[in-house]
Amino acid sequence: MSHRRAALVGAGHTRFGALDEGPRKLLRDAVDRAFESVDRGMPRGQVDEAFLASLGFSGWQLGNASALLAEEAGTHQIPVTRVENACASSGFALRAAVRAIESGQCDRVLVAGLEKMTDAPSRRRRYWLGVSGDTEWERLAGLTFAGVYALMASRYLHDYSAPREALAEVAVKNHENGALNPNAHFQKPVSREKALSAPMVADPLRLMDCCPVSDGAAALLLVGEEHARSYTDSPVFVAGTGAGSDSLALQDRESLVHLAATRRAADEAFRHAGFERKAVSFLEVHDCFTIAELLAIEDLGFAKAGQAGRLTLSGATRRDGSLPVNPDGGLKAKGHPIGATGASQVYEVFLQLRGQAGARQLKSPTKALTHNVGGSGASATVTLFTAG
Amino acid sequence: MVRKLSRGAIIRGSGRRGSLDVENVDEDQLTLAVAAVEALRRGGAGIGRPGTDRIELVGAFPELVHWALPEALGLSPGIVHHHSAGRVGLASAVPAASAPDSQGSSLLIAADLNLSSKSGPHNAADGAAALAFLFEETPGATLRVWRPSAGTTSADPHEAARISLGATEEQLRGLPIHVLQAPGIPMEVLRVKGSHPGSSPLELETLPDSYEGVGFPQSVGPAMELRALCEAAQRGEIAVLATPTPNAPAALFVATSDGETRWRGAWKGRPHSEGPKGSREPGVEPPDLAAVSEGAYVPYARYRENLPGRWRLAADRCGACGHFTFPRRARCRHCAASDRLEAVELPREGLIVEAVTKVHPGAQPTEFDPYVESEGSYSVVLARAGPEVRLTLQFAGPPPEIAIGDRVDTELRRLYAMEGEWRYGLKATLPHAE
Repeated sequence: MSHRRAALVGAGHTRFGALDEGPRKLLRDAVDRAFESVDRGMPRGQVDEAFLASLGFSGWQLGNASALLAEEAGTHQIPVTRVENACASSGFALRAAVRAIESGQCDRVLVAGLEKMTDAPSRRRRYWLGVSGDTEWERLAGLTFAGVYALMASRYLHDYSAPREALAEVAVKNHENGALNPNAHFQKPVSREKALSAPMVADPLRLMDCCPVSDGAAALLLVGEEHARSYTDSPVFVAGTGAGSDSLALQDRESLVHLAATRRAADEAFRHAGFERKAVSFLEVHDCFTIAELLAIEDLGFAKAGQAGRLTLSGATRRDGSLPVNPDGGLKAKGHPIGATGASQVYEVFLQLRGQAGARQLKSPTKALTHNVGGSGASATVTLFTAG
Repeated sequence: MVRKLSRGAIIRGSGRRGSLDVENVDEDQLTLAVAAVEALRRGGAGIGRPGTDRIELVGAFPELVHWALPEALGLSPGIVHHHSAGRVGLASAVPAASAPDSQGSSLLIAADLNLSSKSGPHNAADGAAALAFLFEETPGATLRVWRPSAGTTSADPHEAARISLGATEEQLRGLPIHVLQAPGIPMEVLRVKGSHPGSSPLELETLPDSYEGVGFPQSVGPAMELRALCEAAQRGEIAVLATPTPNAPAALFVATSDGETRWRGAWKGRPHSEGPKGSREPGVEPPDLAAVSEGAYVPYARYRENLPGRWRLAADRCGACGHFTFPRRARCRHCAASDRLEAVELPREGLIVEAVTKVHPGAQPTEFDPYVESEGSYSVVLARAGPEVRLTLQFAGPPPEIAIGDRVDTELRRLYAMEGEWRYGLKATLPHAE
C-alpha cells in the first residue's frame, strides 16, 4: 500500500476492576503510562490531536467530556474529540486517529478510552447497561444486552446444533488467560463445571458467559510512520482499519447468528492491509458474552458458520493453539470498562507484538487483529497490526 | 307475538375462567377490554373501520380509554361513550348499543377490576373480567330494556316482562320465563316465588356453572347476566333480568329477538382468588410510579407516535419495491422511497418464534423491576410476523415451555410505568384457543 501508515509507539493501561480511583485519576494514569512506554520518550507538547472514547456511564460528566482528557493528559489546548459508539467507542476513536495520520492531517495523536462504572449504585448501573441497545422496541420488551445476546445464542445453538459446552469453553479459556494478566479484573481460572453451573442470567447464558462491570482506562500514542523510529526501535504499524454499522435492534437485522457490521469491518480492514487472514498470529475479539466470541471468530472469517464452537473446544484458540484468541483474558476475564475496551485490546497487541506480554506472551506473533463491537452489533471496528 | 333471537353466537374468549390461580399483573380494564374484543374477532365478528362506530363502555375505566381503546382496536377516534359502572351503566349502555343512531355496528364492553387492598401499580385484582358484545343493527331488531319509572311498578318479573313485550297474558301462557340470578349478587326482587296468576310458574335459574365461586367485579357481573339473558333467549325462552338494588334505579332487560338481531359476545376474565402470587402483603405500600421511571427514556410523544405499530403492528409496504418496513420509519428501508408507502397491519396471531430467552431476576431493565419483584422471571421471544418482519416481544405471564419454530399469538398488556404513566404494548402469549 502506498498510503502513509500510522505507527503505534506507546500504550498505557490501568488495572481493570472495581477500583477506588475516580475517572480523572484513571485517565491520568493510563495516559502517563502510555507516555512512559515510549522507548525514547515523547514530549507531551508534540501531540497535535486527541480522541477520548467514553460512553459517559452513570451520567458523570456526560457532555463535553473531551476536556477531561485535555486537562489530565497535560496537552492543554490541542483539539480533543469525544467519540461515542457504545462498547466500540475506542475502536472508533482509534480509527479516527489512524485516518487523521493516514491523511497527513496529523503527525502525533493520542487516543484514550475511559469508563468508570462502579461508582453508580447497582440500580443505576443496570439502567446504564441498557442505554446503548434499541430503546423503543428491544428495551420495552424487557431486554438488556444479556437478553439480546441470549436470543442470538439460542438461535446459534439451535441452527448449528452447537454444544452448550462451547460457550463455557470460551469462559474457561479466557479466565485462564486473564489469570496471567496483572491488569485483569478476574485473575483466577474457572473450571468447566463452574462455568456450566453458574446462575442463569438470560437463558442459555449463565453468569460465567457474561463480562463483568469494570472500571478502567487505556491510552495509545500513534505517529506517522516516518516518525516512528525516532521514538522506538520496535513500533507496531496499523496495517488496515475497517468499520461497519447495522440496525440498532436485532429484530431488524438480516441474520440472528452473524453480525453484518463485523463482516463488513473485517473485509474492509483486510482489503486495506493487503494480507490474508492466515497471516494473522492472534485475535483480540469483543467477547462481551461468550457467544460473541464464537460469532466474532466466524464473522471475521477465521471459521465457517457454526464451526467456532468446535474450533474452541479443540483448543485451537488457547494461547498455545493455532489461532490464539484473547490472550489478555478478553472482556470476559480482563473486564469491560465500555469506553476503554477497544484501546485495551490494542494495548495487548502492542505488548504481544513487541514481546512484552510476560507470562502470557505468545510465541513470536507478527500480525494481530482487534475487533470492537458496539452494543449487540450496531457498530463494529476491525484493526490489523503488524510488527515493525 | 314473541320472537326468538335468531342468531346469537356467544363467543368465549380466552379460557381462564374457573381457574383460581391466575393473576395477570399486567392487565387492567383497557387490556381486558381489548382482549374481549379480539376474542370476538377471532370468532369471526366483523369489527372494523368503517363499520363499527360506537363503543359503549360499562365500568370504571381510566381516562385514556377514550383515545387508547379505538387506537388499540384500529377504530375511529371519538366513538367511546362511557357509562357508569354496574347495572346502572348497563341499563343506559344497552339501549345505546342496540339502537345506534347510524348504520354501523356497535360494541358494548363491560370491564372491571375489583382492586384489592394489596394492589400496587401492577394490579393485583381480586377479580377482573371483561365482556364484549357486538350489536349489528338490522332494521326491526330490538333488545328491549324496560326501566320501571317511579310509580309504575311491579317488581314482579313476569308482569314486567309482559308489559315490556307488549304481550298479553294469553300470549305468554305456557312459555317458560327464566329469571336469572348470579350467586352472590343480592337481587331482592327475585325472591318472588310461586306463580303469577295466569302464567306458568316462574323458575328461578342460577347462571351457568362457570359462575360458581367467581366473584365478578361490579360491571362484569351484570354483563354476564346479560350474556345469560341472550343465551336463554336463544333457546327460545323469554328471559328476564331484573336488577333492583337498594340504591340504584332498577332496570329490567328482556331479551327477545325480532328478525335478524345478531348478538355476539366474548369475554375475558380472571376470577376471584385468594390473593396475588408473590410477596405482596396487605398493608405493604405499593411502589411509587415515579420511582420506577429510571430507565432508557422513551419520551411520551415518541411512545404515542409509535402506537399504531406497537399495538396493531402497523407497517409500511412500499409501492415502489414491494418490501415491508417495520417499525415504520416514514421511508422504505429497502429502497428509501418515501412517496409510495401503504399502511398495512401485520397479523397479530400465528407469529413464529425465531429465538427465545428467559430473563432471570437481575438481568431485566430497571423499569421492569416491579414486574420481576412481583412475578419473577419472564421470557422474551423474537418472533416472525411476516416474511420480512420480526418482533421482540415479552412473553405474558410465567415463562412457558416454548421453542424455536413454535407459534405464538399476541395480546395488549401493560409494560411498565414511566413518569407516572403506564406504557402498553403487545406481549406474546401461547396460541389462543380456537
